[in-house]
Amino acid sequence: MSRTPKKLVKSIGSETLKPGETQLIRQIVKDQILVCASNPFRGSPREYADVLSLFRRAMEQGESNSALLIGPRGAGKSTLVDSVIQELKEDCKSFVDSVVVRLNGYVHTDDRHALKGIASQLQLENAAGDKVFGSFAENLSFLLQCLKEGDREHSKSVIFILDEFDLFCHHQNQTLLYNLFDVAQSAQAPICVLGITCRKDVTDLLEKRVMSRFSNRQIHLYPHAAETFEQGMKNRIQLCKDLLSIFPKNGSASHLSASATCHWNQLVENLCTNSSVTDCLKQMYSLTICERTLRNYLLLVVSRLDEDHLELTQSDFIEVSRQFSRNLRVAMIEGLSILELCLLIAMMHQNEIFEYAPFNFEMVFARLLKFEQHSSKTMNVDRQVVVKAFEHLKSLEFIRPVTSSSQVLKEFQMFHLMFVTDEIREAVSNYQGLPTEVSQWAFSDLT
Amino acid sequence: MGMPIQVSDVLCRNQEVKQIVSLLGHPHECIPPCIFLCGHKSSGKSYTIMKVLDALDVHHVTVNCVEGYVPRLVFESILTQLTGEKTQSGLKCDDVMEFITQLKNVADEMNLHEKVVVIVLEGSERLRDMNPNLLPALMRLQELSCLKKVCTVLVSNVLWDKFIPTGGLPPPVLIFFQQYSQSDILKILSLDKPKNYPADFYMNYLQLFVAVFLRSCRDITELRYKAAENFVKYCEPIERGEIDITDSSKLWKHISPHLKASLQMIYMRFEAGKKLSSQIDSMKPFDKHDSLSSSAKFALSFELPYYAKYLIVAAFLGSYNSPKEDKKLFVKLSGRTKKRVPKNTKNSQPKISSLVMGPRQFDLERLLAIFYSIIEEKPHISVNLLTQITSLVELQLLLRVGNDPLEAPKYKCAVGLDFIIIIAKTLSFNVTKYLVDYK
Repeated sequence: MSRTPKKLVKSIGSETLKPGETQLIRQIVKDQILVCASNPFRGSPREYADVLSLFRRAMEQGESNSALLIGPRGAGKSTLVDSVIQELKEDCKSFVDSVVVRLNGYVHTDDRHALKGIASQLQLENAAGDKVFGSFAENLSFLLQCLKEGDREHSKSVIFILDEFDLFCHHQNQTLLYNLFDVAQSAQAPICVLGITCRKDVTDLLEKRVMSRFSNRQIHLYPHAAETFEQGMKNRIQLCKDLLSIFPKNGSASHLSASATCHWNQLVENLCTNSSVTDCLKQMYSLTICERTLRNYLLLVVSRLDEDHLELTQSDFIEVSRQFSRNLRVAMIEGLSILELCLLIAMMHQNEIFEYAPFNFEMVFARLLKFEQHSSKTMNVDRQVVVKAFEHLKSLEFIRPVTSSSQVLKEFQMFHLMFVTDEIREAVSNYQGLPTEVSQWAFSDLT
Repeated sequence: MGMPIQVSDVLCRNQEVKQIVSLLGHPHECIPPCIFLCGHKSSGKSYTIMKVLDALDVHHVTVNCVEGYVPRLVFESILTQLTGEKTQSGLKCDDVMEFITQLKNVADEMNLHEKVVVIVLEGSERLRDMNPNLLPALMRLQELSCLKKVCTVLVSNVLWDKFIPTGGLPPPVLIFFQQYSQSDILKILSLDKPKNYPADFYMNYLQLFVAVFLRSCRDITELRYKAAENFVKYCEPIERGEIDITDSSKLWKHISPHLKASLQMIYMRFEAGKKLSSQIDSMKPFDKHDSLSSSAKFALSFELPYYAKYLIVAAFLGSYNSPKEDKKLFVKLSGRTKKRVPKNTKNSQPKISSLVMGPRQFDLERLLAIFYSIIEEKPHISVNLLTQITSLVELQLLLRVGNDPLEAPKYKCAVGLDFIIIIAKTLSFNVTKYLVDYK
């Protein structure tokens, strides 16, 4: 790899980053973007305080409680819980006396698994011996026994965090939830149960006997609910700045020289006020408020830094933004062969004529043949080749079968087209080297 | 630290290679939990990621979800590949929890907690159908397994939109593989150049070849196969000394029928292709068999007996005509076909021809009635005649509908119009005359 670009960059400004520094910066910033724990929780102070006081009371006073944390995906529910635990770890004396048990609905798919998970996280596996692998009822009673032992002052408080809480509701008889809530409600042992879910109707999933034991305390997390577009945009840019800037107190940032940090932060500051960068962010924000998408975006931007490219520029933002905003559905159509594209156009016309009624292969093939008869150059429309093209479209899920019954012959199975007319036409006008007849056909109203 | 991989190793994929390397190529940096590679079939997705991972020398495993069609096989395959086939015996891993525990054990043993581990799942659209919890769990492996630098790479030719279940999923880092352009395809195909021919001669051939094939197929694997297959044919006259190597127009004349024939056999990969081209070689292009299309050959390959031919034609007529029309079509003395004024023609919806709607079912009696009205001589209804129906069902030219032994059997015709037209031609029977919807 050539070493010249570095020198070139150096000669432009007196204060530039060295390759080693860029590497370190990239590492730190990637860390900030990807690892939620490495940056503080932002926004929603009320909800944060709620969860904090819930846990704190459970730990310090041994108070039992149960609650649900509800919010849309990517709203920062897990981040909130993580930072609450982090804070308690730092300033709560009784943290060492309490145990945090984390269960995830994706992993602990039934109560037996959940029980195993609880036992291992409470480090009761050894105490239980082979009982862990005994019958479900035995385990449960043993576990409860362990939890019940001792009175309030002497027993450890346990905090249960149930990620994807809605999936636990599908366990048979909701035994786990019933027992956990029961222990919490009857204050047999100091436990606190926090369910995290993105389903607002989650309480409808609870059985009546479970519901009656649940404290019915719900903490809703809607960080973007109240903000206007301008405010949201402002928060977005601030978030961007926070994620990209380097704070010297951060662990690995201490290896970075002060001047490099300062230089980098100044660069980020400039970029975040740059109008073309903010336009990119605005465009994305109008499409999705999902924070994870922003993080993915910034990750790709930062990843562009390397030895030959020592500083971020606005073109990095613009190019990644182009990659993000590209309509991949259209791009996929552009990658089809001409024959397959013709089939799609035939389907599109079929849809227009028959008002989006489902179609089968024979209908589309008849339409394709009709087009071929009118076109001057003969296309290759051998039936078998067209069948293959049709099946290819099916495997790409460009068309979706109406029913999945295997009774019907392949040629007569009904399908829906998964594209709108405009997308197909856009792809047709972008397609390189398409015969004019085909594009005329695509843009004609009559068939 | 230099780039450990030369982007030129993977043709026409510079952007993608660069991006993957920038995400996975720095062992001290954080790794995204999930990367999604999508693009058309054989656009180099798996090849690129494998090349990059090999060059980066990180721990990686590859599972094809066609082979690992149940979660257990996916999990076990990942674990055995990670451990390097040491502990395949006694390994049993049925669910996500077991998998994560075992993964942690493996990581403890091999000291993988701080190392980059990449799990590539090819054909990942199949994961959606396995277990609703599987895909979300695999995408969050980093969070669930506490291995800090594990990354799941999903490879698929279905777009990410189609993966998202109702519950939603965290968006992965998307990398799209643009379909190869025509010049890319030429560049890639020219890698297969045989040693004993000059490069520009092969390039000439490829240009001819691509011009014919690209309309119907952009699948690079298939194109490579077909290019190699046809190049042998292209060179035959040169080897025999009939055509000079520089005479491209003569060579084109020689190859173009081969290419056309080969195009019909695209994706089929059966030996019939060879037979077909050998027939073209024997310089009888207007031989009776060669002028027929592939579907005609299919129809004639059954060599049906005389009555069976009439039976299948009758079945077709029964399937694609409404019973209401039978009388008009088949009763001989209906000379009095009244020209009824078509009333109420302002049907806004165009009528859909029954030929494209698929076959109706009919019962045995109707089949026999149509059979007797279209055949000239009247064979006695006998066991021999009825077994013909059974053998048609066995050949899957007829389909039996329902399997209630008490009811009269019902059938559907399972072959298309072109098949029937070819069969009818051998009987010199004009089948289209009897089809109401034939235009």
